Order: sequence, then structure tokens, then C-alpha cells
Amino acid sequence: MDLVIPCAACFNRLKQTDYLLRNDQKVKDKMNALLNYLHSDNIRIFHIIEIFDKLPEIRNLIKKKLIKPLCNLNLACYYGCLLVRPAKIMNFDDPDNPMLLDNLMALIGAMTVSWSYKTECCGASLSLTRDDIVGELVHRIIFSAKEAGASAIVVACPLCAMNLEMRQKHNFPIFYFTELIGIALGIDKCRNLLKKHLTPGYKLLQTMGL
Amino acid sequence: MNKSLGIKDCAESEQGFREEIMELSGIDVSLCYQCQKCFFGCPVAKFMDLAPNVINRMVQYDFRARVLESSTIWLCASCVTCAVRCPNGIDIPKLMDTLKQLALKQDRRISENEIRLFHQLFLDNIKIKGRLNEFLLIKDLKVRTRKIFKDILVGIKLFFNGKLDLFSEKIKDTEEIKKIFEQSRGEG
Repeated sequence: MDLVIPCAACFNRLKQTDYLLRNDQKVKDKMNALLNYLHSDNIRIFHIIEIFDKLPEIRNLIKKKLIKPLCNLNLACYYGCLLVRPAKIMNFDDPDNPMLLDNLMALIGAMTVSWSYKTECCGASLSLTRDDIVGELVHRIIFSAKEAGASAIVVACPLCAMNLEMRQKHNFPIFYFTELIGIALGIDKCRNLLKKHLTPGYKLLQTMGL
Repeated sequence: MNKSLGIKDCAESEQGFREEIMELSGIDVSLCYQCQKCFFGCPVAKFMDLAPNVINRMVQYDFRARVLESSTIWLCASCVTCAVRCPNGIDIPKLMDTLKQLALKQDRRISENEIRLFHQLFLDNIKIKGRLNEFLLIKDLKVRTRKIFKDILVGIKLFFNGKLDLFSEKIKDTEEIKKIFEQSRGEG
């Protein structure tokens, strides 16, 4: 059996623990003794984005059900830290220039920009205690996305999504990647969910006739 | 902001710190040859009182107090950029975690107390229901730091958009979580 995880932070923690338990007998013994738990080597851990890459059936299904391709939408794909680092353990695409999310967005008809802040840190949990730091990091990420010619950022991590929305002063649209897939597949509920954002994603899609 | 290592500071040195850190974290800080890649890549370095490479050097030289009371160990966001770029494979975020734990254990002066409080409240919060209740976490943090009105407008917006859940679900077996917390207490 395999485990598929939608949250980047949970994915990162589980994968790191799994790596330690597989490769360090001392850690394994300690954890087994402390928690009375036996680790099984049979469970593999994936992030949802990897599933789209690994299963061509799902890609074909999306292609078949594509009702509204997101033509002319220029997106900056933001992966954040947790999916790609530490690269040796996460084993998720290229740690400096990951493309899995870009490929997924291309599949639903959107265009993606090439930019250098794909895996920059957003400040993570400092958001509640040192919002000055997070504000500056978020500003740099959004500024760079704008500079690269994107009209919105699409993220793969829920915490990054929250930080980019809350701590920015650009009024720049932020999407979570599943929302855009839903819209491309013509699911109306996804469109209404966009109204709950703090950023004008709904308006952007409306002005583009999507 | 003093990011350099003054010779005067040597008086503070307390022997055995480097060995202690190596024992606790399994990290050999003597591998660091000050190439400063960790510093240049660090997104929060500009807010730290000591750069990550300086922390490394100070651990090498047994500067116990300066390191454990620095803001650096609390400001590290664990983005792991440094560890990926380190030519000698030093796991700096893990080093920072070890230093945080040691600072708490030895009752050191914490220079970023709000961040320490946040970590504490986060864990306390999970202990109750087995998963995080963001609303209660934010409320507790506001009450304890006496910053009730900070971010209040954003908070209200999030609440009315249904993004702040007042009553998060409970997991099936909360006793199990409490047991894990108890059994792993003090273990890195």
C-alpha cells in the first residue's frame, strides 16, 4: 500500500522520518522502543503532484475531461521549500528548477513562466510571530513573479498559499493548484471557492473570460 | 548587528560544547570551512544576530552562551537551503533544532521569546485534539503576547470566508497522542 499526501509539510515530515527509519537502525530501534510501533518498509510516500506525473491514466483522464483550458493564463509555479528539500531525501524532481507543477499546469492549458524564486522560502511558521520577516520574503517572491511576466502564482503548499495571501501588499492573485484543475475541468464549485480568497483570483479569471 | 567574531568574546568559552552538540545531533561542525554558502543562501540571515556560518564557528570554539542565546537558532525557518548547498553536507537546520532544545533544557535567555511561545502553544494545541485548531492557537498566542489587535482585520476576513475553523475535528484516539507526547518527552 502507498500513501498519498496533499500537504507539503506533512509530506516532508513523513518522508524524512521514513528515510531515517529505513536507513538508520539506531533511530528505528529507539522509535520502536519509545512508541511501541513497528515500521513497515512496504509503504511508499508520494505527494499528489507526483501521482499526476507517475500515472498516465490520470493525465489522460484530465485531457479527456478538459472543458475550459486555461488559455492565455500566465502562471508562476511556486513549489516552496518542503516539496524539494532536502533533495537527497525528498527525491522530488529537480531541487533547483522543479517542473512537475509546470507540466501539470501545461496539461490544463495554462502557460508557465521561467523564474528563479520557485523554491525560495516564504518564512513558514514565522508568519504569526515575525510577520515583518515573512512580509519581506513574500514581497520578494511576488515581485519576482511579476517581473517574470506572470499574472498569478499557483502554489503547491497550503502554508505557502496562506502566507502569500495574507502577507502581501501587491493584491496579486494566488491559486492553489487543485483549484485551477477544478476550473479547467468545469467544476463550478471550484469557481465559487475562489471568492473566498483574499486576493483577486476570481476577478482575474473573469476578465480573461474563463 | 554584530555578525563578526570578536576575539574579546573568547572569555565566554565553555569547554565541551562542541562535543555535546556532536553527541546530541550527530553533526560534526568541524567539517565547516567557512565558505559561507549557507549565509548567502539563507532567506532570513539578514534578520539574525549571528550568521549561520558564525554559529558553526562558535560551536567549534565552545561559545556556549553566545550561541544558545542568539536569535539565529529561533529565526531559522528550516527551509533547508543551507543544508542542500553545504559542500560538506552539514545539516544546519538540524543543528539549529538541537541548539533550540538545549537552550530550553538549560534555561537560557531566549532572545526570540514569541517564537518559543509559538512552538510551545502549537504542541500544547495538538495534544488536546490530536490535530491543530488554528483559531485556538492564534487566540492563545494573542492573549499570551498581549497583541490582541494584531492582524485583526485579516483575521476577520479569513473567518467570514470560512478559512478559520472555530471547532476543528478531533481524532479518534486522543489518548494515543498524549501517550506519544509523554513517551517521547525530552527525546530529540
